[in-house]
Amino acid sequence: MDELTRYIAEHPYFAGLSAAELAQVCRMARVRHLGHGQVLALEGSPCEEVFLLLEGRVRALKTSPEGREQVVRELQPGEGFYLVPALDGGPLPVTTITATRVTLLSFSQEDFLFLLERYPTVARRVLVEFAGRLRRLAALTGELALRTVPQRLARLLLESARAGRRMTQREMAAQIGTVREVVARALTDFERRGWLRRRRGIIELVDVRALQRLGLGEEV
Amino acid sequence: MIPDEERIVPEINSELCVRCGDCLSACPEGALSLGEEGIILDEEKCAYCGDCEDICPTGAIALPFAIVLAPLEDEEEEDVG
Repeated sequence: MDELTRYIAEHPYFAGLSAAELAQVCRMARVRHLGHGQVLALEGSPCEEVFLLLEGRVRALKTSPEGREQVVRELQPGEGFYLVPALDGGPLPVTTITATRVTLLSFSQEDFLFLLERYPTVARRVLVEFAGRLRRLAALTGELALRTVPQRLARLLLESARAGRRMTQREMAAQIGTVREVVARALTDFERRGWLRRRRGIIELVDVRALQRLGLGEEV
Repeated sequence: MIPDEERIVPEINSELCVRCGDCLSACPEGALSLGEEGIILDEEKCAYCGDCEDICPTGAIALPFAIVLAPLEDEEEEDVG
């Protein structure tokens, strides 16, 4: 089995397709191996391709009206992206750049729409993924609307201390809907204020009251 | 309970590691090398900075932090709920 066929056969979207059907999907897909720092597509462009990330991580960036780029998400293996613009025909909402070496599958927009129409099981799996994303976004929207990143991080740290949890900075970022760099900056700020102390592999919460007040949105 | 600081090292999942070597060049301390069995970590050199975790394409390296309350001399015991 060649590399492309193996990736397609193992991808959850295409589970259950017959050998002939998988062969048809393979004819439409490309497997791509890219190094760190490669631009995949630019915000505002028309959608030409849909990507399914297999290995590595991809950063999604948005550009402010002043031209400043901000990382808004870090895409993980297993995630697909540019599915929404492929479906609605709108412009790409974000620029995507590889954050590590990556392996991904790509389909032209036309071929991806054809696959959804041709194979209802694929369409259903894409819909299930969309439903999951909608649920997570709805939950996150409330948090984002009501609380800032430092407030969300303070709450997460207090909950984690209570639960005796161990987390990487990337896991913290995923939980509060931001990226690792922003978490790292907020932790440094908390440390500077004397609210916590970082040692090798340990975050000690020193000023629990200040973190509680921040988590509740009070002035600290 | 606060874990023993000396024993905390990055977690390397050899099943996920594809031996690409990106972490070797990312490590500012030169704490990583590639052996026959995969990545080898020099625990003495490792500064736990996270650069290897950041560059790893397969998520094979994790640098978790235990999140704990400071000992009582720093802060009176609190209900963190």
